[in-house]
Amino acid sequence: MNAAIIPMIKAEGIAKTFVLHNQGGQRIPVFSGLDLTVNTGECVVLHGPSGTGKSTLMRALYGNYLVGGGAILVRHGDGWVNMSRARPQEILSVRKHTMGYVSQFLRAIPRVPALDIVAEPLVALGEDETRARIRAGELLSRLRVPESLWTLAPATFSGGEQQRVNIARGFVVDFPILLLDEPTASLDAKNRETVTDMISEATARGAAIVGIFHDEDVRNQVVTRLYDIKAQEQAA
Amino acid sequence: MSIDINATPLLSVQNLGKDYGNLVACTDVSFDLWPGEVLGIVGESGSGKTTLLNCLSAQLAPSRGAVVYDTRIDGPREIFEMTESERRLLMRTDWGLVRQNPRDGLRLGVSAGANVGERLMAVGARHYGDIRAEAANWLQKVEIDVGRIDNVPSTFSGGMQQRLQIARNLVTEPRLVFMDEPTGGLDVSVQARLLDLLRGLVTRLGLSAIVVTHDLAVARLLAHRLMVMRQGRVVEQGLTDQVLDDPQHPYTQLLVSSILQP
Repeated sequence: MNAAIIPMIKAEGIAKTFVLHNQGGQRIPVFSGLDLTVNTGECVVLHGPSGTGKSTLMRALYGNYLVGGGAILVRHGDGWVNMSRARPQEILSVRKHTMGYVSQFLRAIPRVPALDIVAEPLVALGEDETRARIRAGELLSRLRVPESLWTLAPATFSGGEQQRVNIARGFVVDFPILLLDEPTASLDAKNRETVTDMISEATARGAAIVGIFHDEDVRNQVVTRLYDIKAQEQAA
Repeated sequence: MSIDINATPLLSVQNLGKDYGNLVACTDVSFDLWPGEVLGIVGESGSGKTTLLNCLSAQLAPSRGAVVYDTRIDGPREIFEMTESERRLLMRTDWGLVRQNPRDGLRLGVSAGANVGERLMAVGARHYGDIRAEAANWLQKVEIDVGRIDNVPSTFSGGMQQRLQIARNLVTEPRLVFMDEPTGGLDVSVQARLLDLLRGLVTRLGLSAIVVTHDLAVARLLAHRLMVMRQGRVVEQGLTDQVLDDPQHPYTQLLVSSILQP
């Protein structure tokens, strides 16, 4: 790993407005004119009261939401991909190799055991299935998901258990970029601490992280820079 | 780092349309399907999605437009400009077709093993022992008890019949599989099992697939990319989770907001 600090995400002048066609074409502007650069080894925490568009911004970075203007450049391999213009298969390639995402809720797949859900991103990269499961098990152990649950589909797990499966899945590959949407929301103190450690380890290895954390302790421990959407808009 | 973007689409569809007399069933459909990609076609009944699938899979001649398939030997060819025998060979070897009703895609009078083995024989397999072993292997892959290999499919449940149809289609290692409402007539618990199975097979075999469904949850689980159809036209297309989570077209917004949450 090259120790030099380089930008991994460069968002320039991005804007998002939702248009609700079936509710009289109502327009809901979320943000406009936002710039955001995230470098290797940084954990940028999106900050501000709810409703300011933190999750919307994060979903835009992941290519899950379309933006109305501007560019979201993501360093992918040796080049840059503009997530706001890229073709679906380019976005999928970015997600497979470059950018991991831990959402607030696990989207469980019926019948697929927790261990395989966690191992899946590694297997997709061509890792041997047995080795991927071993790595998945290490993460689940670290996050205190009892081994008796590994072979079960997480649909029946508690909220905290599902969230830990979700975190393990996001960390199973050493992604160059990680997006974390309230990963510690439903966790107890011990597990919060473990996740905090995992985030710090990721930035130490050079990952570029964008996160939303409502828990102040967690935020203070992992943050390298606060990013306030409203303040940024006014400055622009 | 390898970045998996391929230069030649497996299937390239240009301005495809099909009319029934004065009725336009589908029109102005253009897209490329890339190797290893699963495309979902969604829309309500009567939106033209099954007509489109039937044209793409060469079961129905379109009224206009072109469907170009990247053949293994000759490269890209327009499928309706091929001879009938070339097209049949393609359908037997390179393509699979999973119908909504397994009874339309299976031969009900012959055993499960023969249903799978028949496709192998059609591509030249002759050794009985090999064919039977491969059929048994595929029954296992689709989670059918190998002890049922000599039973006829009419003794199977709907879910088993659908899995048998999938085995029959995949045994020849096709590159492209067309599926029309593959989980349509099944109980929810059976659907989940079939979806998980399909997902695994598609990933492991690196298949390309075009899946027609009216079930957005099925589309989310199986498809990389979605095309939303309404009144015979594509009104929106894009990355599956983007189309479902941030739909742009009024019709897609209506579809997504109409899903019942259990």
